[in-house]
Amino acid sequence: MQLNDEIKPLLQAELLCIADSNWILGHWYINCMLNGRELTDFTSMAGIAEEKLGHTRALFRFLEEIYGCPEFQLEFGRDASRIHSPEFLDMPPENWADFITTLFLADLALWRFAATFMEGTFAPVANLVRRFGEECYFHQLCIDGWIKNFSPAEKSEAGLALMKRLPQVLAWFGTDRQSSADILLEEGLRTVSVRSAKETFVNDIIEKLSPHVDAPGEQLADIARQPLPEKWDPGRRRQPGSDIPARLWESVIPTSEDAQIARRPLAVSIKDNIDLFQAAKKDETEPVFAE
Amino acid sequence: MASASADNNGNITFEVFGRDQLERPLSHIGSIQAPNQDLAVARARFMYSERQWVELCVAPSESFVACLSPVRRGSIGMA
Repeated sequence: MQLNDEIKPLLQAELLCIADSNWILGHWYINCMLNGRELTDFTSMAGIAEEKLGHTRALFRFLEEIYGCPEFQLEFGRDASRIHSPEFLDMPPENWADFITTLFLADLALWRFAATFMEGTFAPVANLVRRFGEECYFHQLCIDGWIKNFSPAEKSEAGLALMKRLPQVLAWFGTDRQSSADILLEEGLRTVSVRSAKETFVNDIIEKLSPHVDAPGEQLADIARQPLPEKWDPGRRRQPGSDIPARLWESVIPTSEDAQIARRPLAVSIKDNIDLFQAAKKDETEPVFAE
Repeated sequence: MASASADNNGNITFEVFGRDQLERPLSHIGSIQAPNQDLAVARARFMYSERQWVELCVAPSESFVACLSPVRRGSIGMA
C-alpha cells in the first residue's frame, strides 16, 4: 500500500503518539522499579520496561525508514516540546496505588488506541501492533494482579488517583468530533474509530477497575461525560506547546556526559571505538602491600 | 485468592512448567510466589524468560495430590 501526502503526516503523528507514550511509560517502570513489593515485582517491571522500550524503538526505526529521517533522529534528535506522550504521565505517582492505577489507565488506553490499526490495510503497522498486543497481554495481566492485591487503604488511594488521572486520559483520546472520523479511518488504515476505542476503554475501566478501587462506576461515567480542554493539539494529543516536565525528560534523555556515553546506541558506540578497557584500568596509585 | 497455605504477605506458591519444543514433555522448571493467579502467570512469564517457551503454565502447589511422598507411602487397605 502506498501512503499519499495527506495520510503520511497524520499516520506519523499517531504512530509517534504510540511510540512516545510507550517510551515514557517504559521510563515510569524504570524509575519506580525499586518501589516494587517483592523481588519478582522488580523482575516483572524490568521485563515490562524492556518490552515497552522495544515497542518504542521498533516504531522509531519503522518511522525513520518510511519517512526517510536520519537514523536515531526520533530518539536522540528531538526536545521535550516535540514529544507526543500523554499529559497524564507528566505527574509522577504519589504512592503505590497511584502508580498501579496510572499504569492500568496508560497501558489500557494505549492498547485500545493502538489496536485501532490492528486490522487496518497498512500491513506493516497492523503486524507491529499485533505483535505489541501479544506482549501487552502480560503487562495488563501483571497490573490486574497488582490491583486485585490492593489493601483497603490502597483501594481508597487508588480511587483518588483514578478521579485525578481519568479526565486527562479521556482528553488524550480527543473530542468526540475529532475522534469519530479521520482520514486514516476513511482510508482503512484503522478499522475502529478512536471514539469507539475510547468507549471500549471507559467500559473496561467500569468493568475491570472499579470493583477493586473506591470509585463507583456511576462516578466514573460522570467523569467520562466531562467537557475536554478547549485548546488541544490533535497531533501530539496534548495542550498546544506543552513540554513534558524537565525532570521526567532528564530521566529519558540524560544530559550528563557519562550517561550520554553509556546510553549511546550500540552501532554508534562501536563506531566511536572508545577504549573502555583503558578507562577502567587499575588505579596505579593504589597502595601495594609487600609480600 | 484466599488460601490456607498463604504466607504472611498473602502469597501462595505456584509450580511453573514449561515446554520449549512441541515434541518435548512439559517439565517442571521452578516455582513462584504470588498472591493471585494473574500475578503468578505474569511473574512466571518474566522470571522464566531464559528460553522461548512454546508452552508455559502455572499451578498452585496445593492443587497437587501426593501419590508418594516422604510422609505418605501407598499401602493396600491402609489409605
